Formats: sequence, structure tokens, C-alpha cells
Amino acid sequence: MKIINSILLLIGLLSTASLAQEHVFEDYGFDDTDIEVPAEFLDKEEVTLFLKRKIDIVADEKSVVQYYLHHEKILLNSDEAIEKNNRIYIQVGQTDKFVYNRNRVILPSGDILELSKDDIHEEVDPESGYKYEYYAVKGLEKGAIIEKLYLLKELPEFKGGMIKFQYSAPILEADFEFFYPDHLILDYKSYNGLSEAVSLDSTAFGKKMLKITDQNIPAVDRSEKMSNPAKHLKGFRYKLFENTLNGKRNFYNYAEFVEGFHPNLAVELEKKEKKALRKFMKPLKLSGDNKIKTLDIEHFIKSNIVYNVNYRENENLVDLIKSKQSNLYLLLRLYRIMLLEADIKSEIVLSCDRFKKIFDKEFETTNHLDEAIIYVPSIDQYIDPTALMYRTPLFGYELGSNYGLKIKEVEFGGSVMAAAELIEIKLPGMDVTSDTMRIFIDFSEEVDNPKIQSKIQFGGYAAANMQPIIDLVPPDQYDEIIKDIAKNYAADVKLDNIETKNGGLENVGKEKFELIIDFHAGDLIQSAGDKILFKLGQVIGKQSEIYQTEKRQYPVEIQYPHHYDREIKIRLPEGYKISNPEVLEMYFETKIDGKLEALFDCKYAQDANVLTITNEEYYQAINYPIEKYEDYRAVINAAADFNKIVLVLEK
Amino acid sequence: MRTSLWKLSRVVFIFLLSAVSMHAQKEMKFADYLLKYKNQSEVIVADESVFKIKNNKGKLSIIKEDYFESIILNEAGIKNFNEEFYDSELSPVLEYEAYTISKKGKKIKSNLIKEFANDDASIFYDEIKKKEVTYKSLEPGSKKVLKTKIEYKDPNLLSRYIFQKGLPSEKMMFRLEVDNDIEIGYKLFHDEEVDIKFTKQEKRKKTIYIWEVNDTEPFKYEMSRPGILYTAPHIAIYIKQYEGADQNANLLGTVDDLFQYYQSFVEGVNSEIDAELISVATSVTESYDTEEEKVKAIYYWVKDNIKYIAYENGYEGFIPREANLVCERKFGDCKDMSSIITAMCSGVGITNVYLTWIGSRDLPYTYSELPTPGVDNHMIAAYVNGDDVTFLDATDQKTRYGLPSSFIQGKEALIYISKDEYKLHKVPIVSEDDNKVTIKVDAKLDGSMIKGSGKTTMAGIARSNILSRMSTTNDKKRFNSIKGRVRLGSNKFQLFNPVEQNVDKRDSLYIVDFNYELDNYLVELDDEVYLNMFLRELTLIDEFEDDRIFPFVFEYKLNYVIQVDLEIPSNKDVGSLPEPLYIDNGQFIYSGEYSKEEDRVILDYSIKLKEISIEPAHFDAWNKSVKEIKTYMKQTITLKDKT
Repeated sequence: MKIINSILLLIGLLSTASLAQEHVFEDYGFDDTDIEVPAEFLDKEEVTLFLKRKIDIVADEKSVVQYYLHHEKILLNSDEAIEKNNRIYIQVGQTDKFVYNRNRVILPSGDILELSKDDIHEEVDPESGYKYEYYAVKGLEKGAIIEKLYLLKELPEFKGGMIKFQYSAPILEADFEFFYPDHLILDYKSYNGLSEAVSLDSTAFGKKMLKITDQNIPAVDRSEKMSNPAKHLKGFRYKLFENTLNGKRNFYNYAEFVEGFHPNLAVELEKKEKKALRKFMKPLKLSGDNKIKTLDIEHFIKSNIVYNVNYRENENLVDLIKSKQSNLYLLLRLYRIMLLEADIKSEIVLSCDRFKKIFDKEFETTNHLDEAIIYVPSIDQYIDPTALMYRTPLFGYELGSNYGLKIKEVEFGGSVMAAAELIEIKLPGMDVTSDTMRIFIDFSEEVDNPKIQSKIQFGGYAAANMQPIIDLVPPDQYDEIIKDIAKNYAADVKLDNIETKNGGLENVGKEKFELIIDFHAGDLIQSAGDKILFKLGQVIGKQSEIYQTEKRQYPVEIQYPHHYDREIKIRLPEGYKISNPEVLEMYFETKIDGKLEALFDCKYAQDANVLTITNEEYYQAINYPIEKYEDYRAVINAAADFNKIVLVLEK
Repeated sequence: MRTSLWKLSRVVFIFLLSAVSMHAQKEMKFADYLLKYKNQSEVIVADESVFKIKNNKGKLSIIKEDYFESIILNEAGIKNFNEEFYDSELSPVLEYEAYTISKKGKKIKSNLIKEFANDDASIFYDEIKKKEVTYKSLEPGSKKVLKTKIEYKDPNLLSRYIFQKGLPSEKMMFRLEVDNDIEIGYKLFHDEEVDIKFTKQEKRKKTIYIWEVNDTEPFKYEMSRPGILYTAPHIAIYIKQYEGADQNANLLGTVDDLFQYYQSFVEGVNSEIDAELISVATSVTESYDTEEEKVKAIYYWVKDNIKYIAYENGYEGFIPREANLVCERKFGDCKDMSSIITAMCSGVGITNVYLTWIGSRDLPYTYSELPTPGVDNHMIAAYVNGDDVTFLDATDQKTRYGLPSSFIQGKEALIYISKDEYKLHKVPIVSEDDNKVTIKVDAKLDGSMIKGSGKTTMAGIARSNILSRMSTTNDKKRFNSIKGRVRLGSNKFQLFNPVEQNVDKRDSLYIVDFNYELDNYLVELDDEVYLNMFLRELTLIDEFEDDRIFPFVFEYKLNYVIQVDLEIPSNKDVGSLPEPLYIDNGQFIYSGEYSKEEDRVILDYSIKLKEISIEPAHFDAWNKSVKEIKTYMKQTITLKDKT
């Protein structure tokens, strides 16, 4: 959402810019310097020899533009590296222009092949509006170096955003230079061990410069389970802080942003809008407490209005109700007004996907305010207007456990004003995403083919993955999917019966999704003379594991809190006993600051010929620091170890 | 923590709705649809395609008018608010119209149309554009209509019509209106079990052919089922001849005709081969003596040095590029790779390596069954040596010389010998013994753990298939791929020091030697240890679902051989060993056998998949065998303390 009024800012710059002319990259070109690859990178399949990004802000009396120069050299040492790099796509904004787009290949023989302009293709993605220039790189072989160099002329971007310094291939040297007029002051910050920026007050170009250089940056490792690499990558963030000529300070601050955003949201309804809204809402019969009303309003909107990210045809709510489609912006208005109609106040919260960007509460800028959810204070829950499969209290978990900017409405002298408030978006707790499993295993009829019934109730996010499917796919496909899911809890054997309860979007957020499976588990029995080996562990479904031992790089970060409550009852065959019940005693925990955050606890009790196993497993915290990794791993692996439990039954 | 089972993003609507009716039949009401199509979110009311082929004084005009109309039945249906069609240089869209018909019958026009690059990921630059229409005001009971009018510029390139979509259809119709001085041909496929109503009306100037089907079932997805063209009723049309301005123009109808059309694309390609390319070919082949060795050396050079990048631009999709250009670019599509193979061979005096057209296994036809460009979709090279033909498909980087790529096995190839001569030859299906995979595991008990070493070897398509899926750009990923290939017992399997051999030697077995540890696998009780020696699961064979309809198609045949060699601890005796099991059900052979040698128990088991496609008639026998095998493989052996 690009709500901020950047025009005002431009005017601010224009009036003050005096000396402006050509950009500082006039004499820039390909680089012929030989680069030696250090020993540690010699065996890598692909090495970025250098990666230079440079921005120059150029202003004259008429306009302010920025030139963005991108220059990199990549050494390709394998077929895979060639295949990854032989098609190059450069994505730019709608209004950006290529001053030039060059590429050459330096072959091991020393021969150089330069890209011809005719080989460059152009494409515009009509959804996002992004333009692409793309081309295939000719003549590549192992040992070749690709050199990419392009210069863009674009609107100045003072919101900055994150300049990434870490990618899928190691980089020998990466730098970023920012040339800008004297009267501007920037705010900036290095993340995750990136070296600090150096600020020069004067350069040969008569401008100030910010420069940052880092060497020998390892490739990102995205293979670690339950981690969030995006949070730990080297990066650099900057923004315009002050214009000394007009004294304006603290650009892109939250207060101003909210001031600009709120009036569009809280716009007074026109008469025809009110009429259309009344008609639209007529079938919606609201009753009950705020929780139920909120849920019903959300369900009503999601059932009748399609969220279409690029839909720009609506001018107002009348259009929206008629077209039955909306982008996020107008949808937020619709939610707000419909909730108000039910006397429910709501507030917009803006944030970003925590698996993609860092929301740094210390660094005030609007660049990362990509997503919007709706907070309902009276029930302390969120609505996610774009997540069609979720209903409150569920919202995209990637937006939770993160900071958010809340647009708080305050009454002031009779009129409603908006204030910015930085909040922590809490995910629904493990009481919401809580699964219960009741399994009854009956050996009384057939010793070598026990009858099993599993009743599993899925809550919260676990349910949201299954509950809506019935509404989305044709019936035969639905049966297949449910069968696939059910089989996981039946060790992949053929099922006698599958039953589901509370399927459908209307039940999301209201009822738990229930799966009842009946099967015969002959496949879980192994024979060993007169003893019966029963692979009990498989009845709880396949569990995640982190078995392979290797040094952990990143702390653990999970998607959402999750709780499991399992009870398994086994009716033993007449005259049999379990010889190794002690394998059912398991206890593993993770404490952070003395607080129990993750647990796997399993116990058993025997009464006559019925053995009852109770098991609680949960993950309450989202983040587990690296020093708690082994504790966390022990809990996760305990569940996976449970899968391997074999009970010995003997007479 | 539960492993993530099902992500909603995977719930893909496979709506194969190519746009396409003209006049509504007896009007059904919304309530009738709801009753007839319970739980369906959308139903096609009419899907019609009309070809109008005219002869304007010797010049053909070919227009296809498609009409598509669907009705939304529930809230889930309104989410499907886009329809799409394609526009290209050879078949440009002349007109289109898209609108919603509201429940009350009001027409709401859609002017929202976006143009995308064709999203076929295998093509780098594609002149074909995908146009996507967004419908407004959808609600249960409203209808989506899409009309398109497309011109076919090349009379040889007419499309087929499939009487099956991703949604159930009330009415499907294919109509052909042809001037009487044009002779057409058509072929119907898989029309046996469907009631297709055919009518032919002969008028003074033209003849009208109509094929109609009512109440068609939607495409049914089943894992590893044959492609839609193997099962769905469809029709392919072609123009045989027409009165041209001066003389009769002969187009398609026989393989000879198709070859005549095709040869116009390749005639003259590589008429001159640069000295530089000849010198590359010479240096690649100079250390070899025989013709075959040289062909192989060139074939491998192309696999190693020319990367797959495809450009589709009008007839560029048919004409192989000059070998000189391919060599300079170091990339190309299948035609370009075939072009450079044939040119390099001829550059060193080998003239019997030819450009060859072929269809992938998705296409069910032989050339004589469908002698039109719809019969194939791929090009390779063929080395013809007397009666022997070796197929050279350089798009498959890892497969050795002598074997075809997996996706053309069993298909017929059209070999371009010269401007006037071609040869049809069937590509063999690679035998299971050529695709052999072995795993040999040494195991011994160490406390409650199993430890040991192992070796796996892979040959043929099994080898190339696995290697091409293994990433080499990331050490950890590669380690994990290998781990998956040799995993024993359970996911508790820990792999150590895998050492690979012959990764780049196509003619040799791919070998991995490794060490491992496996915990939580043995069951210990008092003085006994129970152990299931089938450490490697046989995932290749599983029971078919009772309600499976379609054949199950494997990518390749396979012979999978496993040996587990267990050292018996010195303080233990082994109990009785299960009897051997041997099953040959015609589709596969299973064998399992234990043997005891001094302090060792050796288990050999294997599965030999003899057929590449399993027909439903064999499902019962197959399932019976699988059950028997599962029971067999559930048995454990007992190791007991010596008394």
C-alpha cells in the first residue's frame, strides 16, 4: 500500500535543490580488474566476485530523480551455476527507465562476448505493473564470468528499504554507495553483522556520500528446519531523515503516515453508499456477542465479495457491492463500516511477513508496511481480510509474533483523530491451535489384526488447513484429499471408514474440525515367534524431526503455538500382557527464562486388560534462542521417537 | 509436532477450461443445476467450438469461434473469477467478448483483460500471449460467458477439440463448416464409451459436421494416470486438399503429406557449417576410431556444453536453428540441439545422423494414426547404422548413449533421411535390467543401535533420473538427496561420509558408498532382540485403490535388488528364519530369501518391474501380490542370548 503522499516530499526537495545536473556514473563501465578468489571459496559452484549498488540523487529546478546503478560479476564453476544464471530477468518499477542494460561474458580463454541490444526482451506483468528486461546469456561454459551492468533512472526512493547483502551464492565483496545533496540528512542502520556505514560529507562530485562495504559474505543457508533466515541476513536500511533547507525532519514517521492514511479509511459514507450497504447487509442477521457478530460479518464478506488484489474498478462501496470484488483498500473500509453498523469498533494494523522482512521498531519508516489486518479491541482478536481460508481469531501467522503499526482512533473535541501506536501482534495461543486425539485399539477380536478407531479434533491453524477444503474442491477430489490426510494417522493402511465433522468455511473459527477414522491395523503387527510386536507409535501420525546432527546456525522460529493432547487406550487380547510398557515413559521439556515453553510428556497406566497412554505435547513460544536449540530438538525428536515405539505383547 | 500434511495452496483447481456455445438449449434453472450437481461449485452450461473453413478463390480462410458458458453454483465458485485464452502470431485472436449474466439475466460486460507472457516455464521467450478476463458481479446463479474468434493462418496447424474439461459440462459441441471444394479429414479418438451425436448436413456450397455430447464428466485426476489424450474423447481435424488459385493444393492426410510439410522447415538448415564448428567437432572426435564412438563423443559434448533454453516465436517453434549459431550461443531448444548434433557429425564426415521428430509419452498417437503436426512435440537426432537406430536426445543431460530419454520410450519417431526420404522407427522401452538399482548393506548391532556401511549402484534411466534431480549447488541439499536414496529403517537413519563415484561418467554405474547408524529400530526384551531385516522399504509397489479407474504409468521399468548382511553378535543365537518367497504375477517379480552363513544372516530381496504401464485388469492380481509381500516383509528375526 503506497499511501504516503510522496508528491509533497518531492516538492520539498525541488524547492531546495540548486546544483543539479548529470549523475555521477557518467564514466562508469565494465571492470577489467582481475580478482583472486580466496581458498575458502574455490570449491564453490558459484561465487559473486563483486556486487556494487550505487544510487545518485539528482535534482534540478524541474525534477528530482535517482539513478540506480547495479554492477556485479559472477564466477560460474558448475553446470548448475550456468543453468541458474543463463537466463537473466531484471525487474523494475512501472515508471523506471533503463539508461542502459549491459552484459558480457568473460570466458576462461580470455575471449569476451558482449550482449547485443537486440537480444533483450521486454515484458510487463499486468498484475504487479512491474517491467522486466530479460535475456539469455550466450556462450557460457564452466569457469566463465558473467558481468552485469545496468543503470536505471527512477523516482527517488527515500523510504529506503533494506539493501540485501546476502544471497544464495557467496560474495567476495559487496558495497553500496549513496550520493545525495548536501542539505539532506539520512538515517541508516546495518543488520546482522554487516559492517557499519561510512558517511562522507564531501566527495569529488560535490555531494555527500554514504558508503558501506563488506567482504567474504557466506551464502544464505535456507535448509535449517524451523528457522527464519530472513531475520538473520546481512542487510542495510536507510531513509531520508532531514531536509536542512526547509527544516523538515523525521520523514516517513508513523504519525504522519497515519494522518495521511486514516481519512481515506474513515471517509463519511455517501447516501447511495448507505443505501447499497443496507441492502447488501439485509441477509445478515446479527445476534450474539461481539465475537460471534465479528465472525459472522467476516464470513459474510468473505462469502460474497471476492478479494482481487489488482481490482481497481471500484470508486466507492456502491461499486464494490455491485462488482462483488475488491482490492484490500476498499475492503478495509467495508469491514470497518460493517463492524460499526454492529456497534463494533475496529482498528487497522499494518505490518509485514516476518519470514520476508524485518520490522525494526527502532527504525521508523513505512517501507515495510505491506500488509493490513483488522484489530477488534472488544474481543482482542484480529481479522485477516485477504486470507480467505481464515476466520477470526486466525490471521496469517506470518504477520503475527511481529510488530505492527496500529491506527488508533481517538476522540478529540468531538471529532475522531488517528494516532499511531506501535504494538506487538500476538498470535492466537496454543489454546486455539490445539489438537486432541482419542484412539481406541481393540485386540479382543483379532490378535493379529487389531481394530482401531481414531477421533482427532483439529483446532486453529491445524484445522484451517483442512476445514475449508470441502467448499473448494469437487466432491470426488475432496474424498481423495481427506483419504490422504486420514491415512497419515493410520500408518498408510486401507481404511474401513472415514467420517468428518464441522467441515466448511462457516465452521472455521467456530468449531474444531473432526476426523474419525476406523481401520484394521494388521500392517502394524510383526510376528516374532509366539510374541506380537505392535508398532504403536505410528497411530499418532508422522511427526516432524530434527535428527541429523549438524551445527545449528539460526535460532528456532516456528509458525504458531501448537498443543496436542493425546490419549490412546489399548484393549489387550485375552491372556496377553505388554512386556515393555516402560518405553511409554517419556518426558522432555524446554524452558526459557524458567518458563516451560515446549513439552513432550508421555505416561501410561494399566487397568485390568486396558492400557491407557496419555501424552501432552506443546510449543508455546514462537522463538527459541540458539542456546536452547538442543532442548527444543529433544522435544521435537521425542514426538518423532514416539513414532518408533513397538510394544511387545506376550502371553 | 505434526508434519505439515496438506497446504491449501496445494489444493489446485485443475480447471482445464479452454474457452469455448452458441445457443442455449432448453433452459435449465439455477435450482435444477443445484439439484443435479450437488457440491459442485461451477458447471459448464455450454462449451462449443466452431471451425469455419472457406475457400476464397484459392485462398483459405480459417476461423474458429469458441463459446464458453458456465454457471456458478456456490460461494466457492465465485472465487474462480478469471478465464483465459491464447493469442499468437500463427493463431491471432480477432475478437473476443466476455460478460457475466446475472441471476436476473442482466448482461454485465467485462472489460478487464490482462495480457501475460505464456506461463510455460520450459519456454524462455514465448511469443504466445495468455489473455486473462476478470468477471464482475459473480454470485451463485450467475453465469460467465466467453466468446473468442481466432484466425488460423496456417491450414496445417488446426487444433484438436477435447470433449472433457475440468468441470462437468452440460453440453459440448464441435462444429465444422467447410466449403465443398475443400476436402477435410478427421479422426475421433476414445469415442467408444461416450455417446457422441454426429450429424452431417450437405448444403449447396458447404458441408456442416456437428459432434455433440451431453453431460460429460470432468477430468478425473489419479496419480500417475495416463495423460488426458489417452482417455478423453477428442477429435482432430485436418485439411486434405483444396482448389488453389492455379491447381489443387495438397496438405495433410498421410505420413507422406506430413513429411512434405515438415521437410520445408528443415530443408536448407545447416547447408553451411562454419570452420570453427568443424574444428570443435574434429577435436571432440579425433581420439576415437569408430564412427559410433565419434557419434557418441559429439552427443556427449552437446549434452555437456549446450544448455536448454527455448524460444518460441511463430515458425521458430518448428525450424531448427543453424548449428553455427547454437554453438556460439551455447544454448538451444530440442531442435537446436538436434541441429548441432547432426551438423557436427556431418562436419566429421558422418552423414547418417538425422533430425528426427517425435512425440513425448503424453501424446498417444503413431504417425499413421494422426498424420498431422498434432502427433508430436519434440525433436531429437537419430544415428542410423544399417538396421540399428540409436536415438540421441540431448535435452536429457544425464542419460547414457544408447538409451532414449524416459519420456519418449515406446514412441514412434519420424526420421528425416533426406528431402525425399524418411523412416519411421519405434523407440524401445528400456529394459528393467538396464535400469538396475542395487543396495548392499552390512549391519551389526552396537548396543541398541544398528551400525554399518552400505553401497548403492544405479544404472540406466534410474541413474540419470536420480542424478538430474539431485542438486549440486548446495552441499547440504545434496547430502539430503543422497540420504533419501539410501535411507534404511526409519527417519532416524543417520548417514555418514557418503562418497559418490562416476557422477559425470554416463557410461558407468553411479555409486554411493556410505556409513550409517540406525537407532530406535531394534526391539529388545529381556534376553531377546527382534529385528526386521527389510531395512530398505519397497516404495515402488503399493496396493492400488479399489476405485482406481485408469492404468498406472511408471516413468521407467526397474530392477531393484537389495541385500542386507547382518552380523550375529557372538553372544547371541539366531532363531528360525522365514522361508523364501517368490512371486511372478506377470507385471513384476518379487523374491525374498534369507540365508545363514556362520555368524551372519543374509537377506536378499528384489523387485523386478516388467511392465511400464499397469492396466486395470491386472490390479487385483497386483494387489494380492502386494498384500502377500507386505505380510512377508513384516516378519522379524529373533536374536537370543546364548545359554
